[in-house]
Amino acid sequence: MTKGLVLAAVLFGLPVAVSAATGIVVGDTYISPINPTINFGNATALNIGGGASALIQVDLSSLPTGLLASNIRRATLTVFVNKVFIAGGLDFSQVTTPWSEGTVTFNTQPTIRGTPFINNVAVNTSATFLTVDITDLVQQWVTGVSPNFGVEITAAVAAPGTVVNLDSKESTSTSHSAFADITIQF
Amino acid sequence: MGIIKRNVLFAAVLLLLFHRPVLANTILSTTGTFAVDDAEQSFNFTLASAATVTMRTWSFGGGTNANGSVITTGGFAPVLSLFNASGSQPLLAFDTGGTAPLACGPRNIDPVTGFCLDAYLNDFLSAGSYILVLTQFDNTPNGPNLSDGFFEQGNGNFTGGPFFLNAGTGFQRTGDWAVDITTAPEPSTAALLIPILTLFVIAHAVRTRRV
Repeated sequence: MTKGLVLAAVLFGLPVAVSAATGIVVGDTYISPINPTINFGNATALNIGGGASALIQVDLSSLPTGLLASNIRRATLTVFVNKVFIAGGLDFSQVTTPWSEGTVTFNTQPTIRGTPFINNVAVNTSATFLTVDITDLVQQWVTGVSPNFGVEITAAVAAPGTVVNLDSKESTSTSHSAFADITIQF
Repeated sequence: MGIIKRNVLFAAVLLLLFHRPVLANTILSTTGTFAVDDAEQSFNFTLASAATVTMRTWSFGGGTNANGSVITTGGFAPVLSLFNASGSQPLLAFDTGGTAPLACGPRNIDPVTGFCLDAYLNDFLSAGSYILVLTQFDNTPNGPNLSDGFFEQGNGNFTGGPFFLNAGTGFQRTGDWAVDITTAPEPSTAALLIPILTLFVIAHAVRTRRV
């Protein structure tokens, strides 16, 4: 389905089938208070815990233009948990200022919205995929309510001892880069 | 001497006569030190008959190895990969340690990191020859066969340390390792005889009481 047809369907209220899109990661890294001036944009693992947190940004440019929030039926973010060192939980927060994979450090980290939009997602098992719902976030991004600066993943406030490594997009041997799965309905 | 006392003494003497200590059969128990991150150490072993084999490291969380030596904590995060030595040398299993605090299994928790990353494999293996390969996390097998190599092969300083554990706040470890390969102990003579001896003691007690 072309973007033009989709736009027409949106504008004129035509019934259009449900379609799916994948948002690939365009930037992922982690920031660490132990190395506050070092950029880890090339790291193959996203280190979370002990104060370190991961930043992930997905590209939504493949989505049709002109989408309404109601057109985003469901959106999920999937990450690959390579290694769980200490089991616990993860918090997911919306990033509210821009950052660059190749330059961001702990000292230059972006801001996040006050409280996580998902709290304490259990993470207990290594070598597993973890999927969280980001529907509200994608609805904000595609409609321009909030700019898409990605998400930050931290050890959960409820489980601060959690330590895990996620695969980054640089971990090419495993092809376990994070991705967003978006279901669109017209 | 009372009947009961006499019977207990009789049973104790029999147990002492037949008791043998329960010990794992050690195929290999050795230590060493890696110089670079992508180092590999292979251990070849052969089983004359099928057995449950335990392959484990001690150097991350410390402990006492099969030789009775005390292994200190502080070593790198190890990976053990088991291959069949014959044919295409297929990968049978590999382990990169446990998950603290509740899924450590028999691994000890390292007091510095709070992690339990010693590698531990416990498999029932048929008679034959095997190759156990020790590497550092995350230098894991690249494919289904030994010839596929390992993920970090050729990347001698892949941790940036060497032996830097990139997890949580990050931890500097050492190149030290300690590996055991043991087979499950056969039930001891005493363990086999206990039910028989118990029955014998009971029968003896009954007979003595009748007399």
